[in-house]
Amino acid sequence: MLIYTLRRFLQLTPMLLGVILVVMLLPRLVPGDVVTIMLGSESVISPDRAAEMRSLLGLDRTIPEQYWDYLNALAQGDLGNSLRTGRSLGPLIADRFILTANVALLALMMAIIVGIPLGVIGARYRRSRWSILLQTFSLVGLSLPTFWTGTILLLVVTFYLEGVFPTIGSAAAGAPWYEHLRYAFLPALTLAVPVTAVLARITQSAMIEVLAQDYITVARAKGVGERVVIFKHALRNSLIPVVTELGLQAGLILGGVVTIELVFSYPGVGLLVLTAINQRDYPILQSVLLIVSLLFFIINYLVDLSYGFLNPRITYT
Amino acid sequence: MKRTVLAVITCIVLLASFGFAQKTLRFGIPVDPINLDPAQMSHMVAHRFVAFLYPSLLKYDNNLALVGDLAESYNVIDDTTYEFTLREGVTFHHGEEITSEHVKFSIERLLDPDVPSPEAFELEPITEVEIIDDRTFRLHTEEPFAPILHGIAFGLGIHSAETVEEYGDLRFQGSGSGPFELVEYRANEIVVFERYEDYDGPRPPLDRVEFHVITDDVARSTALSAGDLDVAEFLSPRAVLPLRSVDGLNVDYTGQPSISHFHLNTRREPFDDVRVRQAMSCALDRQAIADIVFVGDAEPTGPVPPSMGAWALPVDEFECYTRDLERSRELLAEAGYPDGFSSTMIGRADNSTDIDQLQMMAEQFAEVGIDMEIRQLEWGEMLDLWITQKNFDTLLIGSSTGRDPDANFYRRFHSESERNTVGYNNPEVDELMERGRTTIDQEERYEIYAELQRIIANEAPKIFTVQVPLYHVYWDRVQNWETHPMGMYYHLGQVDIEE
Repeated sequence: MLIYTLRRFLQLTPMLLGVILVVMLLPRLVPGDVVTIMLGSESVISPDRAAEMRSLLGLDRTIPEQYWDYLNALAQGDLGNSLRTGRSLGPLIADRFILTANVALLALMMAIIVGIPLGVIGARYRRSRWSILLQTFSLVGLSLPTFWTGTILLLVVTFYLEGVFPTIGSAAAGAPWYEHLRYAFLPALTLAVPVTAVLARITQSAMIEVLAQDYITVARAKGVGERVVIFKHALRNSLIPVVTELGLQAGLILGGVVTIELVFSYPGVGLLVLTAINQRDYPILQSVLLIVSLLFFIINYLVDLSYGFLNPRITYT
Repeated sequence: MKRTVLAVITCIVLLASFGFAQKTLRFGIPVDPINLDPAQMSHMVAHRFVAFLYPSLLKYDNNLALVGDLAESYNVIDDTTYEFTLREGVTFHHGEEITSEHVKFSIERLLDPDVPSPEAFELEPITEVEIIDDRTFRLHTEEPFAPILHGIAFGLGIHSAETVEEYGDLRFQGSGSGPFELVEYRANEIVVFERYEDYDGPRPPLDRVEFHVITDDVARSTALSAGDLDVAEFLSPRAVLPLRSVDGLNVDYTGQPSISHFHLNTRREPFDDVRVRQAMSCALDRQAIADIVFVGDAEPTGPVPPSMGAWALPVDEFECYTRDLERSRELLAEAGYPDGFSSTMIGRADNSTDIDQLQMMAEQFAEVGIDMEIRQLEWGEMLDLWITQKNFDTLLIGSSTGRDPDANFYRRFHSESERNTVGYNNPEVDELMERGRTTIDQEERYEIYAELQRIIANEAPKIFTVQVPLYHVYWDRVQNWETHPMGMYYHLGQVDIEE
C-alpha cells in the first residue's frame, strides 16, 4: 500500500512537468497579449512604451526562460503574480477555489444522494414504469447542456422564486454557512443534473448485473430480507464502476464550472480562468490549470484506494 | 414586566435595524475598469471611474458642455495661458485640502515619461503649471492648443503626492475627492464605494455604491430582473429588448459620442483605390442598420456623431452617405471591378451587435457584387491583427470618439499617428488637423472641422455607419437617475433608493 502510494506519486512528477509545459505554451500560442488588451483600441502610446511595459512584465523573455523561472518560483511555493493586476496569486486563487469547491462538492452530493438511489430503484423494479421513467430522466439529463439548464433555472428563479436564490455573485467572506449554500445552490444544481443522470444509469446497469449473480439468488433462497439483499449484497458490489465514474465526473464538474460560473456570475475559479484567458493573464491560467490537474490526480488516486475498501479482494502492490 | 422587556427589546432591534439599514446601489456594468490610476486610464470605463473618484477641474454637463468641477472659474488669458481658481474647502478623502500644488503634481505625474499614460496626448502640450497662490494657478502651453480644456475634463484626475506615496500603486486603491470614497476593488469582480462624509457638496443620499462587473449580457439582465441589481448598463439593443416589457423597469438610452467605424485598410488592394471605398460607402443603407440592428435607437452618422452638437454636419451633406446603388456600381466599374470583388471583414465575436451589423452590411454589399466574408475574432486576437500588426482587409468596431473633434481626427487619420491603423495619408488633411488643434477661434474651428468631415466622408478611409447607443436600465425604486451621454457617474451623488 505504501509502496503503491509512493509509486503513484513518483508518476506524478513527470506528469506535472508535462502539464506545466502545456499550460505555459498553449496560451502563448494565441495571438495578442496582456499589454495589447490592457491598452485596448483607444490609447495613444508609442510601440517603444508598449515594449517597455512588456519587458517590465517579463514577457520579452524566451519561453524556455519563462518556463525555468516559473519552475523555480513554484519550487519555492510561489505561484507568481497576475500580469494584469500585479497581485500575488496565492490568496486570490485560494479564495476562488473555496467558492468553486462549495459548488463542486454540493453538486457531487446532490448527484450521489439522488443518482445512486434512482439507479437502485431502476434495477430493482426493472421493466416497470419506474425504469422507463428513469431512463427518460437520464437521457434528458445527459442531453441538456449545462449552460441551457443554468439559464432556465435562472429564469425560473427570477420569475417564480424571487429573492429565494441570488442570481449573481457569492456570499461575503464572513457570511454564515447557509448564505454560502444559498449562493452555491443554483450553480450546483445545474452541474448536478447530468452527473445524477450518469450515476443513475451506471448504478442501474451495475446493479442489474449483480442482481443476476448466483450469490444473490442464494441469499434470497436463504430467506435474507430484500432490503439486506439490495443494500448489503448487491449495492456494495456494484459500486466499483460507480465510484470510477464519480472520479471522472468530478473532473468534468471542475471543467463545467467555467461555463456555469459565467452564467451565474459566480466568482469562482472557473470565472477566474475565463477572464484570465480573455485577458491573456498567463500566470493565473498556469496556476489554476496546474492545481486542477493536481486535484484530478488526487481524486483518481482516492478512487483507486476506495476499490480496496469496496472489494477487499483488491490489493495494492 | 415581561411585556415591557419585550417592548424595549423590539424597540432596540427596530432602532438598530433602522440605524444600520444601508442604502446601497448595486450597479451592473459590462466591462472592468482595469486600472483606477488617474495617470494610466486607457479606456472609457476607466475614465468614468477616475472622474468619479478623482474629480478634475472641469466636467461635462448633460449636453456635453464644459462646466466647473473642482475649478470654481477659469479664464483664458491668451492663446497659450489659462488661469484657474479652485473651489474653497474641498478635501481629499484622507482629509488634506486641495490646493494648486495638487493640480501641478497631478499634471506633472501624468506627463512623467516614467508613468505610462495612454491618454496623456491631450495634456502633453502643457509646458508649465505656474502656481499663483493656494487656489489660483496658470497653465501654459508653448503653442495654442484648442482641445486642452477637454483634455483637462476627460484625461485628468486630481490626486496628491501623499496618496501616491502611501499606496504606491494606485491601480486598485487610492484617495480622491469625489462624493464617494473607494473601499474595495477586486479586478473583474466588484468595485465598492462608500459615502465620503466630509464631501463639500450636498450630502449624497446613498451610503454605498457597488459596481458589479458582469460581462455576460444575459447574466446581467437576469440579475437585474431578479432584483439583485438596481441598475445595469447595456451596449446591446438586443439584450435590452426583453427588459422593456418588465413592469417597474425603466430603459434610458443615450446616443453617446461613440461611432461604429468600418475600417478599410488603404494599404491594400482594392481599398487603396478611393473609388472602391466610395462605392462601398454608397452601397450602405445606414438608416436600415439603425432601424433593424439597433431597433431604432441609433442614428446614422458621419465622422462626427450627432451627440457632439454643433460640431457635427448632417449626414445628408456627405457624398455617398445616402444609399445610391447606381452610383456604387459606376464607381466600381471605373475602378476596374465591374463585377465586384471578394474580401473579408473582421468583427468582434463577443459583440453580437457588431456581428449583426456586419451581416447586414454584407447583404448590402452583395447587391453591388461585393462579396464580403465575415470573420468573427476574439478580442485579443482582433487587437493583435488590427492595432499591432495592422494586418486586415476591413474591420468593424465601435469606438468612443472625441469630446473635442480633434480626438475624432488627429489620432485616427494623421499620417504620423500610431493609431492611424487604416494607413490613410493625405497631406491636406494633416495640415487641416494641425490647424484645427492650434486655432483657438471657435468659428474658424467649426469651419476647419466641417471641411475635415467632408473630406474624410468622401475619401472614406473609414466608413461611418451609426452613433452607438448606451443603455441604463433601472428599477422604479432608484430615484433621480440620469443617464449621462458619456455614461459618466457624476450624478451618483444625487441618486437615492427607496427601501
